[in-house]
Amino acid sequence: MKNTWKKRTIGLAIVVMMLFTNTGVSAAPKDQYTPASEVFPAAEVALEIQEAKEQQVQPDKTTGGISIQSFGTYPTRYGVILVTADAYKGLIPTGHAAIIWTSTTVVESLSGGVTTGPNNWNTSKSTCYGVTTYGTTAAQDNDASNWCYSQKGKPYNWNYYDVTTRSKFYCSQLVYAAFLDLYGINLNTSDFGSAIHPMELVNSSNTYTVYQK
Amino acid sequence: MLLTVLLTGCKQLTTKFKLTYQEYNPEYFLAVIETTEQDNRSIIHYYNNELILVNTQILPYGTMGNLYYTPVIYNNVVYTIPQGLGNKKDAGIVLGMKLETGELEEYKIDQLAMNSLAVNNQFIYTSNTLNGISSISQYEISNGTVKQIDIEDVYISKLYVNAQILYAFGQTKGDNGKLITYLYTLDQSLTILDKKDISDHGSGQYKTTLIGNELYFTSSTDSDDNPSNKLSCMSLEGEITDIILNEQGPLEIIPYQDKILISHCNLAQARGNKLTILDMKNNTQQIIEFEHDLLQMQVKDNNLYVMDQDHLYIYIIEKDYFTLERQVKIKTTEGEDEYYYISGFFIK
Repeated sequence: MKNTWKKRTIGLAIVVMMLFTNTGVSAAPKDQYTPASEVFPAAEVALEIQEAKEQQVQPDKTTGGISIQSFGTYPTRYGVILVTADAYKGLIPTGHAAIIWTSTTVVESLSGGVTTGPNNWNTSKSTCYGVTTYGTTAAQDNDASNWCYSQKGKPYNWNYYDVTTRSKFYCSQLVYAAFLDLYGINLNTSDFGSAIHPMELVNSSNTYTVYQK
Repeated sequence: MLLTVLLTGCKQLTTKFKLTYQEYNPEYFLAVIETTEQDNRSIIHYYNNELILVNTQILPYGTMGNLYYTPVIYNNVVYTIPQGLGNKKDAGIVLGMKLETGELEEYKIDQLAMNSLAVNNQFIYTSNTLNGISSISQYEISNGTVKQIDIEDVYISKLYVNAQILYAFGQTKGDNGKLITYLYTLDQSLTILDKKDISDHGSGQYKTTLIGNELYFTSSTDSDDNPSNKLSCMSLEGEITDIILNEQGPLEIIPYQDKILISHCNLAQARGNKLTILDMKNNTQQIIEFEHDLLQMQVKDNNLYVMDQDHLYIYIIEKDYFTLERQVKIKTTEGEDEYYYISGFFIK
């Protein structure tokens, strides 16, 4: 009788497992991966933020010998990378990144996809950095912004360590991917392993700061 | 001719208040929205016509508008798009508040990161740009039905609707780096009736005004992304003409008596302190320079209401100058954990 009960219990468990498998019940995509709070520990993010604050603001790139904009003014040049250290209530990691697409618009990866919206980071955010890459021209930065804009149908990448995928993006990974794929410029540092936090775009040795709020 | 604004007998008011929730009270003249991207929270400050604070409300909505997309009033309802947290922008609603009762209604449109908003008697229209494709949604007010049309490869910056026709301004970048701008005309079934290349008139349209039967609009830049200096006007027949202004960066367009008031302000940099008084009859332009930015402005009766990032100002409109009557500090949340910004104001 004991054996019968045991067989029935095992059988029931198998049926339950099959039911869940057949109905496709599974964990949400973000639940399958290491949570952001572990990928980007708060104490280390704080160090990144402090390091970013200490970056010197330098003049932005010129084009054709004409200065694109005044030193230290809020950027509107295509392809300038925007980063904020602002924390969003209840969400980890802190920070966000985008890239300027036209003077009045930015491209950013949100949890629902890659969107385009108004270029208003200096008024809507407490902290804002404008950074640009060494070794690229203004025209190349523009192409990088177009690359980001055109990532059609790409969902959010909850696997922060996987920065090699191009089928999905999180905010800083989108910007990183544009410059890596187009120009071989790696904006990542080793601070969070293969994952790239928005503040790393400011602190990378391949970028320099042209605006800071 | 450049004139400076006269400051005579202005009254500076400061307000201090406790951030406690209060019931809606329709006895006010003007309201200011202070909002944050970092929490689902916005503060509405209500002022009387002397800019005395008479009430405050806290609403559970984040990123409730921005300087590009200030509140829209139609049929005694004020509409905004509260996007939610700034790195998600997935609230997916338009919020309507009845001006007489304060009753709130959420119109569920389920579009990520909606930007522009337009309203007529039947419909609420919104737009967003996701993965390089702009979507225009039409919410039928009577039954909540939502329809959507997708337009590829353009960013829709501005929607304007009259009784029958929806206009949508969209930009993209050409292969030669120039900006290409289209003006779409759609009917109530969201069928595109016309797509006009308006690149020669400018790019980055965010403000429109109907004066008589003509739709006026301003552009942030020209097709080379240099600051624009044009005020454009489209007739009923779809013909567009430009008025060349003596100042760059035109933004808001407000008819006043037989003139048009045009602010000059760069929304990205939130800078710009000049206003053009355009006399269409005599074909003259007067430029007035203010001591603060003109991020948003409205005219009511004989007064000009202007906002910068911290203050609201009332000016008396004189024949060819403005007299500052009073101002009030509207940025109230210094010291809060989250960062708040002023996204706009509306006059009841």
